[in-house]
Amino acid sequence: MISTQTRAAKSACKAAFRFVFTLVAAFGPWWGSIAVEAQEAGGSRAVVGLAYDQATSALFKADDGAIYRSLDDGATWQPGLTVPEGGAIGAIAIAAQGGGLYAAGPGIGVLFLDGDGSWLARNGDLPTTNVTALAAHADQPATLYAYIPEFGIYRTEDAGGTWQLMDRGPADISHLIHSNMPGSMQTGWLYAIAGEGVQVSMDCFCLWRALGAFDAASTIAYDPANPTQLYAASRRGLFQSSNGGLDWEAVPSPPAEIAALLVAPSGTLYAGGAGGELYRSIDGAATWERVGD
Amino acid sequence: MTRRVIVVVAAIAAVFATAAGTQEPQAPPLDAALVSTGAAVYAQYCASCHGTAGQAAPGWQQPNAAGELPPPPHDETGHTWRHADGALYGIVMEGWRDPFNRTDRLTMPPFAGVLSPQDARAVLTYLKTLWTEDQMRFQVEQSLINPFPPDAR
Repeated sequence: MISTQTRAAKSACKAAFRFVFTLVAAFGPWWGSIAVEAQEAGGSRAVVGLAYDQATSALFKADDGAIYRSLDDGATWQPGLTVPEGGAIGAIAIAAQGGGLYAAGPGIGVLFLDGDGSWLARNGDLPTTNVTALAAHADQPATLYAYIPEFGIYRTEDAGGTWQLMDRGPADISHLIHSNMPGSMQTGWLYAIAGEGVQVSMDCFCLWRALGAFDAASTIAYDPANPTQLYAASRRGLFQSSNGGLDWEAVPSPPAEIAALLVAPSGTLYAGGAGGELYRSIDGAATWERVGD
Repeated sequence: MTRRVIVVVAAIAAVFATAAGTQEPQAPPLDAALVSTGAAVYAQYCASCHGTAGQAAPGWQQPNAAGELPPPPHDETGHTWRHADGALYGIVMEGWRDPFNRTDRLTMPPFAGVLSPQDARAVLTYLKTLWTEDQMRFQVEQSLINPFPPDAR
């Protein structure tokens, strides 16, 4: 039997925890604080990844050395968080349902940004840290996919605690995204920039299919509010598809070599350039404006 | 102090007991009667598209002239083993359309009203005889969270 005093103390502790948790959830991780080196935003390093956290209304962009955050849709940026030495950022992803920010790359494996601003390794039993692509499941916060060129595509369903090799996948995957477009036999679809083309598979890894005829595709993104709507960049410019990638048409492209794409929940389309530029479009790629300089 | 020590020791003991008892799910032996029934169902309703031994036709990975994916194999070369019992049952009974079809037709026709729930389960049980042990173990794991519906058990 628990005493009245003990019950009261436990209630007070729970209330205090909820208060602190609410603050952390409201303001996000303690950005630019302990254990990591701050780095000014901008510069000419290629944008390797873009992500949007709906839980905190934060836009993230990454180059190979740091991740930056914007709370005003890319107009201004906070100093970046670097990752541990010995590796480079190749991809970033936001886990579903406010599950937090992950970063991955050769030499760093998979990292999770903890609430106190420090990086936690989430490599579990991955055979190496040579992760060249990372995707977060569109709906399941603890499910991620990591690509290691020597082995294939791994999946975790416990936020990186354990990983399972799911499929060899197409060769040379440089970019991976997970979509919840309807029609999958499983829970969604994986789109990959593999070699110079775009491929898609249901996330049961049943069959990889080539999409379109791209010349050196570099990145791909889908509209989370309308998952059949996709954008892909290649040497020949920017393309969109309204039927999941079955058909593509050219659309106006920003004046930069596009290295990263993102469609925010608002529908705003972001394009990160190989020279560090960031462009955004609020009209489905009809027009572009440069932001964040 | 003594109660705290007991609680800590009990927690540690529980961890070890759990670790010792945790085993990778093993594929249970298949019901011979179900397999036999399933083989007959497969021969009558499935073989014409998926092959007499579940091997499908060559080139099944590529869309045909109509822009539709041909029926895939159900043996170890295919991907049927990647899906849970519940998912497979749903596809058999409700059909499925590949979103990348160039036509509006269903890729896999529905068999609700043609097969009873028990026959659907039987034919899926038969398909498991075409898989490797590793594939069966994987499928068992997937089926833990998405098993056959109650009316098919």
